[in-house]
Amino acid sequence: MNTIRNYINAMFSSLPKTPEILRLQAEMMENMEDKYNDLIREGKSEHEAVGIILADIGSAENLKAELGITDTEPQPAEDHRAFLAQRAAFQRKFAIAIASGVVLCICAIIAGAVCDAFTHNDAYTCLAFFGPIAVAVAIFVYFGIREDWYENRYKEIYHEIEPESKSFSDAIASIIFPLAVIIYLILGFMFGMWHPGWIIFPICGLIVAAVEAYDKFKTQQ
Amino acid sequence: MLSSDVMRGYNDSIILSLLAEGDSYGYEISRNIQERTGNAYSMRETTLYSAFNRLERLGYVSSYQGTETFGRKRTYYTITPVGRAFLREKCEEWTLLQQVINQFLKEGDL
Repeated sequence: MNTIRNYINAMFSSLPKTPEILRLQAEMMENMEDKYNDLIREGKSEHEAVGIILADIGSAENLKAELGITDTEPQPAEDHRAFLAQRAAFQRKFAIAIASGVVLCICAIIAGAVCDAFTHNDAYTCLAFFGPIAVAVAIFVYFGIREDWYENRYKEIYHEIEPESKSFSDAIASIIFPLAVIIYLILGFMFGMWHPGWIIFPICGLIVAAVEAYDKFKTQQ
Repeated sequence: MLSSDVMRGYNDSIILSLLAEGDSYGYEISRNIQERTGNAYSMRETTLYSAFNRLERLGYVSSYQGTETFGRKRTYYTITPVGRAFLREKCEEWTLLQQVINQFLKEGDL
């Protein structure tokens, strides 16, 4: 009987949930129970009874045609529905991952400071600082790539129009930050300039913000 | 076994004719159809229940909640006067249709 119930529920799942249709579903359920009990009484096995009922019921397409329901919006196909579920699950994971990445970065600063205060050993301090940072970056990169994949796939499915081309500021940002990291590391390791070196990040941020503002100003015109 | 395509235009009439004999509910009607036709036609459940839905909207039948032996509620249908009038019309149409088709399709003609 559960199989039948699931089948009917699945069949109605793609229909609008109007009171009329919900009643129809409940009614069908009631009557299928009668039919099932009857078949069992006739001496059919459970499997046979379910088989007979499912063969007679019809499909979701029948039902829609009979009710004269035309799909106003394209229903996501079965695999799309699975994809959407996956995407939703991923988005939760993504949020957690980014949050833990940020926490790791904060921990790195604290760990670095603590290590420096207690050991006065540059190598250990470096390790204490860059260890968590490396993990955080790995998380950002990994989840960033996966997120990109999900978003692209989503756009593909729903034919969302992608912005013509990446904006100028996006292009700048995608180059400038990795570049900044490289410069920062070189400055730090080669010249021990960790301290004034960090200034490169706020500068980059400023540059990107300025370019972005200019971009916006241009598109508005 | 008749295909649902051939029967499309008659499903409503069949249901109404059974209801004209007395109030009934979904499963009883579908069982009746199968029995009377000796399993030559069995109406799909999707067809049957959406027909109820349509007929009720058209005012040809009305429904009420009845209870059965086990105390479970069940939706019963009853034919309305409008439904009876429609059924009479369909009966006349059927008689005419038979005459027309019989002019063309005769067994043993081939």
